[in-house]
Amino acid sequence: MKLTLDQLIEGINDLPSLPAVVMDLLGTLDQDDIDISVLARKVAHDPALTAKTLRLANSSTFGLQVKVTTIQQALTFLGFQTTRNLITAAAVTGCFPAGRCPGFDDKAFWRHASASAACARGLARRMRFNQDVAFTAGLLHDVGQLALASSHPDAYAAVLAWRRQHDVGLLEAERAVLGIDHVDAGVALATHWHFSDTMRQAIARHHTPETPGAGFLAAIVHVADAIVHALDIAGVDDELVPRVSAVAWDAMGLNEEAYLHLFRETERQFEEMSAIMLA
Amino acid sequence: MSVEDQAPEQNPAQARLDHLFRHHVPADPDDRATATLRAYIEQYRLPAQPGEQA
Repeated sequence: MKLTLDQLIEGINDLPSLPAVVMDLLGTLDQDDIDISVLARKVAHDPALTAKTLRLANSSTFGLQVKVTTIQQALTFLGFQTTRNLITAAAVTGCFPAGRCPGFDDKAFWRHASASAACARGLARRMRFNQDVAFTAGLLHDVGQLALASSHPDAYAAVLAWRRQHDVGLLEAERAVLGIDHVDAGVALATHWHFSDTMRQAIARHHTPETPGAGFLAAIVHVADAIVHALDIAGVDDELVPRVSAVAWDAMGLNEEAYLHLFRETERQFEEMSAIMLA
Repeated sequence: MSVEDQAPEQNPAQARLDHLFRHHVPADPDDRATATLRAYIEQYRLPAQPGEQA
């Protein structure tokens, strides 16, 4: 059942493409010099993408006092970077076929991803880091699991069965059964979709944030991921909290009161977001 | 009375936390970050009852 990197990439190449406007956006998450009016026009041509983006924009996570009904309004009230990340989130969640892999719980996946996005955003705000980039990285950090479950459903079903049988972390099960893991798949997908280097690095290092050069975003996503597992948000019986990197934890530099507030904030925001993601 | 009947009942929330952190070894001095997260989550999920010390 082992997969080679070439087989992995071949499977990923067969996945549905993202809308062209989203491909443009993913490659420019670190840049601010994008023509906003062109972006609004391009997105408006995709009604499903527009609708999901606006539902996200109007969710309590973003705290708008007025309801936005057009992409142009979202740009005005939320700003370019936030809107760009919401468009990306809306597009990525809609492009994976659900229910292809026996044992893979799509709803649980998006509950974890949505909560990780909210938690990473909350951590970033406290660390004065870019909240929008943290939100997207939190949302997409495990996207390699979706890529594997969609492109190699039978092989990934064997991984999930092996994991249940041996009660190990997902990475260990993936390596034992496939010889590769969801980090490899996430990086391959990030390359295929032209994610920015920052985003690719966060996906690559979210389990190993202590690696030299991993970057602060990887540390934020690592801690957010552990918190969301510990908050038991995915709603799966065999939930398991991974070992937390002391390097990443210390980099956050937060006290108990700040974490308790972050836990409440994450739980408050994820339900609404995951409902939108799964719609 | 069976042994099970005599055993003290475990709080379901505490039992779930023990399950979530089942791979964590509290005595491992190199895993203080996980231990700290666990302590904060316990504080969040299992706040001290009146009369108990926090």
